[in-house]
Amino acid sequence: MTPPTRVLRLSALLLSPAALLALGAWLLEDATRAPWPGVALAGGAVFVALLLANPGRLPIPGGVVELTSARWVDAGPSLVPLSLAQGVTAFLFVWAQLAAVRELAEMTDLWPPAVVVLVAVGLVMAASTDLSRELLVDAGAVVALAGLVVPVLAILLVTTPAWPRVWATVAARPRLTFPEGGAWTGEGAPVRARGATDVVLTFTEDQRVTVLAPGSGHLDSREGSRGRDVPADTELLLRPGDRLVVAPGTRVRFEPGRRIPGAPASGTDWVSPPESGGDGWSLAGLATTLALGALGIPGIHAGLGAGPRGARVAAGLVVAGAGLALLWGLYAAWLTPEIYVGGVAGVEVYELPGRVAALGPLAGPFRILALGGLAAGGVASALVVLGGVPRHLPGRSGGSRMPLIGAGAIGATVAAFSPVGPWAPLLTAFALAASSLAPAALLTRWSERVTPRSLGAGAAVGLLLFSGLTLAALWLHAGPADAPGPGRLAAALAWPALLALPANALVAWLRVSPPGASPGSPLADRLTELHRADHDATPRR
Amino acid sequence: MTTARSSERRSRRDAFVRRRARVLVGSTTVAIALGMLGALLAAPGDLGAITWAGVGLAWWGALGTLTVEALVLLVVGPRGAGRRER
Repeated sequence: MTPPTRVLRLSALLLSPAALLALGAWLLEDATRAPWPGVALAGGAVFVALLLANPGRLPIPGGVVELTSARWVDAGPSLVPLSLAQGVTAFLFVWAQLAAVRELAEMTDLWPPAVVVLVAVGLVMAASTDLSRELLVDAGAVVALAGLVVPVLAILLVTTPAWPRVWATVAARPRLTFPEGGAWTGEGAPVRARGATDVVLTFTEDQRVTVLAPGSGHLDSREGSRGRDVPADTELLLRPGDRLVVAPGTRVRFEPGRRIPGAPASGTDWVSPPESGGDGWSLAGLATTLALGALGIPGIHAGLGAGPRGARVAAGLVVAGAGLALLWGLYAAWLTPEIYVGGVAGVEVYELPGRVAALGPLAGPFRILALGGLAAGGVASALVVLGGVPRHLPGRSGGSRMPLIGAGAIGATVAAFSPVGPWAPLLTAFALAASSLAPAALLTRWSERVTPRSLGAGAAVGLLLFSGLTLAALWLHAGPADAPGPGRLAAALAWPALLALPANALVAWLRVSPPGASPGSPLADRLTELHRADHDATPRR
Repeated sequence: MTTARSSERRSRRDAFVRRRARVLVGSTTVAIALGMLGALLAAPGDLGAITWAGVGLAWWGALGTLTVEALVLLVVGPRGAGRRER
């Protein structure tokens, strides 16, 4: 019997900590466009339920490769581009989750790279055995959902559930200032930044600031005079344009009633930032990447729960979770505007319960539940995706653990020691999945005339286009040539799925077998097998 | 007997084709809802930032899109074999 917790896997996969941290950070910066990625992810969950689960359970672990193998026994070399894309997508997804774990670890006194490596070793060990993997995934998904739902509902209960009023209040703020009586203006509080980089605080009005012992800082004056070092316990009078540079964790005391460095100037700026990246192509690229990429994420089938009802509930949970993620950011912007200090990484949003005095003694436990839920969600989603890593190496008949160990080891290394946050690898994983895997997932389920060769050719084209566009974007980012301005070319480079996905689908469609089936002829046996609602075993080979 | 088997296989094809049409309708509805929200966000003059009832239109649009997504799941979402498909 399938445990009911299985339905939580889809929400753990699509609302993974790598995604939630980015959603929270966006909402603090741009209230108008922040809902877009969450709504697109929720759309992806609905597409997954409609297109992959209808009418019944898809009893195939892994991903598109396993789905294709279930329909065609002799798919052979056609699977190579799909296997490659699926393996790289799984690696990128795991990297993103480990990077999220790193950001969570930075909120503690532990050494983040050590935490990442330990979690990665645990993931690979757990992924190697079915029992521990299933148990950990289910437990992690339960804790992740509880962490996303319970604390924010408690905050709504003790403050106000009328979120439109909260939105209007935040949007109407004339200035975002340090409140009187908080830690930031009293004993001081540690400023944090993403990674090990120094925190740069840029001031927009006169303000008295004290760098507290044992820290120290460096002041770059607006007037362009040479900067000077600031010893501990020095009170500075900073002018508009001055920049104070301190190490992460340095305690700083600010002046009450003065603007928060790094925060939007006002509620109006929060609603409509002066530099918002919201042109139509970027929005289309983000939505295509997230909503259609979800179809190709390895292990996504495992998130559909048991049976059609499970798939509907699973997708419904993602839709509801996307809405709750917005409320997290909104209430964080309302109740704790000082979290803008040092820049927003996203973790601060989920620390909100610890800063809501009205929660009383439950504030601490709810904070732990929220942050623990993020960590558990990272473990659960990474384990589900690691289950989708192709295990068959060329020249070996049986499965091998090497791809799994490789994905975990490389993912841990880059997550632990590179300054890249979780959002970039997550978005790349979705883009690769959309570019090379999503059309194959769709056509295998719904096209009668598609063949393994057509799918393989389409996936190869998608993979090549994705790689070419991504490399070109990285090359331009490195600076040897001028990057294109806003427009179609810039969108194609930033969102390779916009080109690669239709090209993949077109090639796969052009290479299908000639029409042979008349409306009265029977459906192919293996396609029938994929659409049987009542079977619960892998289709026979 | 052969006729009965042939008829059963044909009915499977019919069910598959009907299901595919229903899935297409559901997916198109979600895509249109997402497209409308995207158009609102990309509209000139920062249309999504204009407030109605105290909240930006983008948020009402997002709420509407999430509602459409939930309704699509309810109405044309996956169904088991036990439930009659139209």
